[in-house]
Amino acid sequence: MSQLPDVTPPGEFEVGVSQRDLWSSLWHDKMGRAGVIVLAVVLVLIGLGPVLFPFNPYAFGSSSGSLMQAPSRADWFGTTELGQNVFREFLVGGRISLYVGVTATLIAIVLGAGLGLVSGYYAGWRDTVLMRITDFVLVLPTLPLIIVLAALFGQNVIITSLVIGLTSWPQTARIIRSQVLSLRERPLIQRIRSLGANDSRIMFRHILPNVAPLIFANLALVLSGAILAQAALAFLGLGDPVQVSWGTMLHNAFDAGAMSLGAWWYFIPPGLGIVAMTLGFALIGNSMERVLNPRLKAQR
Amino acid sequence: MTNTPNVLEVKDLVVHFPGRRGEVVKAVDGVSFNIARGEILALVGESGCGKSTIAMSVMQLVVPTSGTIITGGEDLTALHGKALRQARRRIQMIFQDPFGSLDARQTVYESVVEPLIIHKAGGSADERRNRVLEALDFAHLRPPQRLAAVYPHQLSGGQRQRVAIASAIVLGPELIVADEPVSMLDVSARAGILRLMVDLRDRLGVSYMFITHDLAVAWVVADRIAVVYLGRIVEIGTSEELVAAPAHPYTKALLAVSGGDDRTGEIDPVSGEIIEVLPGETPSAAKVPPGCHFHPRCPRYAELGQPEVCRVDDPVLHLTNKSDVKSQTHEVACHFPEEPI
Amino acid sequence: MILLEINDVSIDYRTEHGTLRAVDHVSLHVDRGESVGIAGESGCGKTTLGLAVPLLLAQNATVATGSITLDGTSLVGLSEKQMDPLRWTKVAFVFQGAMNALNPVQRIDRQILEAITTHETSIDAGVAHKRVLDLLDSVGIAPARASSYPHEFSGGMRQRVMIAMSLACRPKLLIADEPTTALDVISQAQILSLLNQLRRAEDLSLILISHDLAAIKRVCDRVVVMYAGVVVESGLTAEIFGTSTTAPSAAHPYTQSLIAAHPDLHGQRVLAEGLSGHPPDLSQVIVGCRFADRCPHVMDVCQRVEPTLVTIAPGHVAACHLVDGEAS
Repeated sequence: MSQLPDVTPPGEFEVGVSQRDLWSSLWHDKMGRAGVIVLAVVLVLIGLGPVLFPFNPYAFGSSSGSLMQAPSRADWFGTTELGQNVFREFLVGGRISLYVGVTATLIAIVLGAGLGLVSGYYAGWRDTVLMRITDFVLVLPTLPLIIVLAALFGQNVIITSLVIGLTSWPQTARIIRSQVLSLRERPLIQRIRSLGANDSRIMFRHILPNVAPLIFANLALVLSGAILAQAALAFLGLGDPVQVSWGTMLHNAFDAGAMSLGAWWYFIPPGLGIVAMTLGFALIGNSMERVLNPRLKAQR
Repeated sequence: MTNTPNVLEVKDLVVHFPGRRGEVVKAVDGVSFNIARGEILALVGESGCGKSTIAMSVMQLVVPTSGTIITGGEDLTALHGKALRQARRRIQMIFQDPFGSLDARQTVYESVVEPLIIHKAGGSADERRNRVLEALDFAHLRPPQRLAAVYPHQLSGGQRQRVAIASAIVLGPELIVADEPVSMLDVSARAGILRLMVDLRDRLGVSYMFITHDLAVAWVVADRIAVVYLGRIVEIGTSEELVAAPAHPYTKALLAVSGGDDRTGEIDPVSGEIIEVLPGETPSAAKVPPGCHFHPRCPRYAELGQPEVCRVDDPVLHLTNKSDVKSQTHEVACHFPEEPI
Repeated sequence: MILLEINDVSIDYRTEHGTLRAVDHVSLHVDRGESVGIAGESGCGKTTLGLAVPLLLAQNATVATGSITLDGTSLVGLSEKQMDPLRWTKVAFVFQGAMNALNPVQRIDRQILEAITTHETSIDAGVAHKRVLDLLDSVGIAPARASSYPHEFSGGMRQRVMIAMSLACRPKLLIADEPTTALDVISQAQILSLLNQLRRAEDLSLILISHDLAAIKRVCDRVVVMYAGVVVESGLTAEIFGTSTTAPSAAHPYTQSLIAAHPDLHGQRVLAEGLSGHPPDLSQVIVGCRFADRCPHVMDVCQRVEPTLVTIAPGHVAACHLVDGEAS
């Protein structure tokens, strides 16, 4: 048997790039590599941080001397208006941002990819109906909607995740749908259909694996959007008041007048944290789209 | 397997599509033919003549507008759901694009075992494995154990087409519909695939509906040839009699060009004009000429002074004058077919 | 009188896996008014060789050895600025699938006009327009249809438009790469005979690159057969492929198998053997004859020594140990 080049090159876009190729291409792409590094730093901090740096969560400042203090040897990122250690708040707060981001994204991707798959595969009236629903959700003004829903159903991380997820799926749905529409015309699908396979087998065994890489690329972008959305909500005071998140930190900092007091240690870390996490995922997502570019034939 | 003498009987097949501007695209306009057990029938015509649509209709990938397609005693157009799926075991298809028809993410083994899984056939996992290896061996993919583990992108075009063939024979079908199975392969690889197809017919008794634009290939591979023009069969007969004595002017033209005998482009010594095998181009299936579809381009129509019957009446397939009484196989759809020699 | 001389040309591609020599020390020439076919299958280097003449090779390809001389001018090593005026006016190229390269939102006559005015900047508008109509007429397209859009034409007619466009600036040499794939047989015959007519009318030299021997038979006086980057046989088309009255005299087993793969409707109704295997990987070093692992007549010496072109008959050369006396 042989490792052959094609005798008649197919010249077709193969979405079938293997996992290993994906990671190595990602690393070789400058943006992808930057994204991976940035993200790794952030994730390590929020993951291991509280373990490595166990600051006392109940240490509120007792005297006015320890409130809103600049960074010092004792408090690396200084203190809040209540005397809390900013560094600890920072390390713990990142978790909520990530949690909401991931949960919301999962909802968005499952809904979006699922709808895109069904819509693209069946076409016809199902596609028309689903696409009109997608258009409707697409044009809904997200933030006002979230505000209303938060007011109605309360402010907790579950609600926030749900709401962000339910408003982020249209983008994924459209992308997956157009890829599925082109895949279904391939001789492969005609052949499997002619064998007598039923629709669910075709969709899950043949179409889904071939759009999976595209879903991953989109996932990264949706994730960065979800993190930003959560931060925005928390900043506006619509986040879970009990859980500290970076957005909540910014909210508190704003309330305490940190900006005018020049207490930069209070709002710069959470701000940078949000930027870093969002940027990391966005860079990876962008890079993956480039890696999966149709002009890159999977020529091995 | 059933025991009817014909594995396929197509009667009055019509496939009309609505066009973009409301006109009717007559892709297939009344086609009838049979394929006997163990026979290779070639459908020959240019792209767009409807031969691929006929194949798709037989496979029920395209729903015909009217007509019947009978295999194993059942009319496929009347079947649905489970009954249709059962019937599909009898007819398998091979496509033109060897790479596009295989799932790039499946190994050769997975591609070939899939029909067995879909139809819940082949017995236990071990028995299935044996059937797959046997099918690969039949398709000359050797050694089968090693080739079963590779991915399509590691194979040449010819090898991929063999995988497609293996997956088509694993269920033991009666008929294989092959749509231009070699046109995307290198010239050197074509003979191997064609030989394989004939070999499988000899060993397994499977029939073929072989679709091609290449009359010469149809001639060496097929037992009978049906020439298709604008959605209709204009001539049908054994390969030998069709090539030796074509009765329809279109077949004559195709034969002349395929054999390199046409004198297209040369100056006719008598008229001083440039010789054309056939004037103009094939009209689109949305604007099919009335009467005989071929008459606007037909040299005989011009020679005979444009007889009205060609413009008005659809010619029907009928036996040619010179068919020998015993075989009765050579039919032509023409009001003024070539006279017998 | 030699118009184009390709002398000992090798073309290398730089890939991430190393250097690949797609064309290996190939020589061929085209006389004025002559038409030469380059026959072979995908990967043999024929398209690369064809693209090298108008210097249209990809960025990662270089002409590593040899020279290409067109009408006295040496082409290898010319800069874009120097080569540009020669393209279209001295040598024109019709790509594979060219008929799909027409601008869908521009009328046909405009597109041809553009080709003319880009290269003959000082031409008079009326003269140019008349030339466009003449060109379209010469390829069988009536003046009434000149201002149509590409989608209003069939594939065959669009191909004629491409040919007309390629002749817009009266080149001396036309290189056509698979100009008739994707067309039906009857249209193919029409396009090929059109090329013949234009050749005679304009004293045009033609290089036809194709895997279809029937096309080469129709149009070409001489044929060069390539395999895995080298020339394996070359000579008069009528001799090598035979005619309706003479048998083919192809000497190289690869040429013979190519001929066998095109069934002859006048001959025996027999299916060819075909070739198993595949062409060699050109990024690896090849020892001996490149065709050895697929050749039905392979001998010991074939695995060790690469054959060189030897003359078999006047004007007919082949590179094979079966005919060069090395078999001893």
